[in-house]
Amino acid sequence: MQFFYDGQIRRYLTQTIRVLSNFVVKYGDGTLVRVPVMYGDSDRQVGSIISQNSANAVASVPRIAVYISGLDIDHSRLGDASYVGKLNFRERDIQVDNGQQTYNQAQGKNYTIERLMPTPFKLTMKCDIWSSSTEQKLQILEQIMVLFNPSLEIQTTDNYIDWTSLSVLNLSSVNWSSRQVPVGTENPIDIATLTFDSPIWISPPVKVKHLGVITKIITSIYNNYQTDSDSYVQGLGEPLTTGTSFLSDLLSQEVTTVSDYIIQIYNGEAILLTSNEGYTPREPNLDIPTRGGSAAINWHDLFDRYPGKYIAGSSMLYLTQPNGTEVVGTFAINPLDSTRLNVTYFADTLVPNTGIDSNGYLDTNQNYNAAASYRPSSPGTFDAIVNPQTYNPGTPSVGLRLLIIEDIGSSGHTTEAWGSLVAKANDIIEWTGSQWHVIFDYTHFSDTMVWQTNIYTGVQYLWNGVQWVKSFEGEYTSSQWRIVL
Amino acid sequence: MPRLSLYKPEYGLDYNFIDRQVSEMFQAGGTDVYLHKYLGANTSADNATADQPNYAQTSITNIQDLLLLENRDRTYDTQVYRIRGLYNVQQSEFSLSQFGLFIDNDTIFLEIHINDFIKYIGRKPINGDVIELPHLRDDFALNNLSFALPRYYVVDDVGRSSGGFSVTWQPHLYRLRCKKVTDSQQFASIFNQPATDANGDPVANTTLLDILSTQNTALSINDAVVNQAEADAAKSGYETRQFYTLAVDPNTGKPVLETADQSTLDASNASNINAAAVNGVPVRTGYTGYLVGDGFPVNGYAFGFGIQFPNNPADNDFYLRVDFLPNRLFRYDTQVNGWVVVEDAVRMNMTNNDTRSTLKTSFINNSDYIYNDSVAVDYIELTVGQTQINTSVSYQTGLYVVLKYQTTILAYVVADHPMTTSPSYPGILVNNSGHLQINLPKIPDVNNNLVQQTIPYAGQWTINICNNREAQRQSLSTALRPKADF
Repeated sequence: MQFFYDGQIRRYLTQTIRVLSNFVVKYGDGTLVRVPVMYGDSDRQVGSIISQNSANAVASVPRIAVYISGLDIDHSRLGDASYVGKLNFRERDIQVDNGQQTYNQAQGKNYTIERLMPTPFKLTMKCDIWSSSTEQKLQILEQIMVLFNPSLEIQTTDNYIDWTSLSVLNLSSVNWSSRQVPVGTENPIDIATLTFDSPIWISPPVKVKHLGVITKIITSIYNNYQTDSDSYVQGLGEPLTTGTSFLSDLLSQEVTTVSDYIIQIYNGEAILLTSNEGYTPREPNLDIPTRGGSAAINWHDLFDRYPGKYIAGSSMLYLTQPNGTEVVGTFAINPLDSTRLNVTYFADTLVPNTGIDSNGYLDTNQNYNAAASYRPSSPGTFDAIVNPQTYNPGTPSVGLRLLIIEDIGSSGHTTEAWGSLVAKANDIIEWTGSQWHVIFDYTHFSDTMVWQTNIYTGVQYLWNGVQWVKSFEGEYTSSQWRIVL
Repeated sequence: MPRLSLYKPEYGLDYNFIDRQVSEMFQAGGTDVYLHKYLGANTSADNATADQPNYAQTSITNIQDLLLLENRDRTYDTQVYRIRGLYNVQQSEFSLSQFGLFIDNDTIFLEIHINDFIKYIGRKPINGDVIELPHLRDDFALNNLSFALPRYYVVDDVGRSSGGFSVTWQPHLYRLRCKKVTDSQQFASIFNQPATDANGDPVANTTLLDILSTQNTALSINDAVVNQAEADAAKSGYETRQFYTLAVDPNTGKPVLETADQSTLDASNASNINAAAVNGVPVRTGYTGYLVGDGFPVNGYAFGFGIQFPNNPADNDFYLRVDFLPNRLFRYDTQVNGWVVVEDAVRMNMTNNDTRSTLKTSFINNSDYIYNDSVAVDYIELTVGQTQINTSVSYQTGLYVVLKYQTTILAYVVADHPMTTSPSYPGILVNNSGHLQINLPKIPDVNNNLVQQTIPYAGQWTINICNNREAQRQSLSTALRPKADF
């Protein structure tokens, strides 16, 4: 087992010494003299240091010594040993000015604390009071004993999380003197002893976790289930296992999130929409969407409900794609408009571009040969989206690729800008150094998805068999996105 | 011819001869013994009672406490006497007890010459006399070697030494049973004397107690433990100021946000403003439980304090009323158009000190008085910072000046603040053209710097001159006992 130690019993000693500290006795001339309190089971070397390593040092009187005389498990207070108590906390934010850390008034990190049921014990401590006279003993005892009626509350910590910190000192007995009457020929020192017992707890460490707030609930209704028979075969010694049930025939599924917001992803921005609100058009395409008319929603409204602390540039947005993968990006609230998130996507989480060689083969085709194409280093990209009827490419570099959005050319005819090229809208064309030719003819890919990135804008596009659309931008329902602060 | 007998009833020449030989033997072979002569119990008339009387004459026969039969406050002659003594030096071993190291066999039996002792000291040795054996000084103790630690003993028993009887059957020696002294009340007058350096000169600001006693070390160790205890649990209850309470709309459960376009935006929350949003102010703390009220608003919001609410408060202003015990925190709510109680500051330092004020300790840590026998009263509108008060009542002297505003009381003893020329101060009560003028005094602070007393709150104060006061804290056995003849 890994080492852990929190000094729990030590703190009970500390607090008991605190309770008995700062009492004074009064001399005849009115002088008030404090009674020191120390632990009563010192190391011999430390005892020597305190007495200056000399037989001539003089011990001061009065003195109080506190020490443990017993520790027993308290069966009457035992509880469910497997019980775990949970607490959720939001901390205030900490700001640093000139190296000085201070709390400010904003929300900071937040946590869930799990505490395992502690073990109860009864701690017995003795308090020996050495006095030089009976009057002195009476002074000390009168001041101390008035506090016990019959108990005195003590706390080992003021930590809100520590459910074991509160205890009491019960004054269980008083031994008036260590001396006997008559004293006899000797003159021993006089020690009065107070015995305290204290119900205490010893606790294992807690678990500190991120705030455990449920942000999404998926409710599914299935029409059927099957149970595997166990794999036990008599005589072969295979372990006996129970059958596993499988749900099948999903009838309906409802996803409820902490906010039920849907979001619109467009051009590196994310905007919150209510569940019955939408952008036009709802499906992603090349057009700029326009909002449905509801009031803009502040992203802080959402962040306050999520566990964690929003950190610009570090908090992350996850967008679930139809194939089950997720596009991930970090975000920051637009400093001018807190209803908009600026999102920076991790390129590695985007769907890889589909390579197209100069012969028009996709990278899934066995004849695919990018190395021999005019654009060997970046066969999954094109350089721009152009309207061939209004754009003149001039004399481009070899391997330049363009996605065209209008038809160009016809058989047997040439154009000044494009030569003898004949292509349709949605085709990708490439410059060989002497002529333009089509490398992606959309008519051949009506049942194939192709991803290409526009180098000019950095936006990835998807050929979905019908049209080019932005590959992941668009509207995501409440079940298709999540954030991690 | 008389019968032969070495015994003689009188102290004759034989006795004197032998006694001189014995004295010379002590002089030649004995060791120096420094004696601190016990003079008697130190009593005073101020706190004398029937069973703890005050003696007009200090005498070794006085008994300080006639009930417990103790002499606790002992007076010793400041003159240290030197005599000679003999004893068997013993091996010493340390015994580790709950109070530190003790010498196991710390008792010595010292023999001294009777007549020499009487001659030099003037009386027989008694229990309570303190001796120092200079030959046992420790020059190499664990201090900075500036001081040698002397060895002190207190006489515990006095008797005649069995070996001190001569052939004439007359005694020549006392046998003193001596134990090591402790730094205790009994020997305070010895240990409070200045320590001396190697030349025997007193060292400034250093007493024998400072170099010999374990008291200072024990107190510093005790302080360190208490400091740790205070670090673990500074106050009773639980600290929640580091936690954040989210303001939530009770109807929708959504966080309450305040935006820059709202006119009620709290500028004190500027650090929380990010873009156009700031969280709203929660109406109560989200962390409840036993003793969590500390008088501070949630989330570290700014607050004022005083004994009366401020004028023109804004929504969600916090204010701590310090005239409540415990202090009470309020929040201004525009919906109810009033101040709403938030919490009481119930957390309290758990270390015993002179100001701690729980239910029980408020009966002990109480230095307040009640004032009676008023001889002059006036009501005057005063302003903050005012130091001089001109009343409309005729000049009148009294023993006490009491200024009261709501729950705030300023009280002064007239005799404690007389007229002085340097610094110039006219006295607390002054005749100003036949009317009473009050000049607030300057009182030393903890650093002994004089601090001018001022009026802390503006308002109508009651000025009262009284001739009697009673301490609020009185022992149960003595409170309101008869003060006059029946």
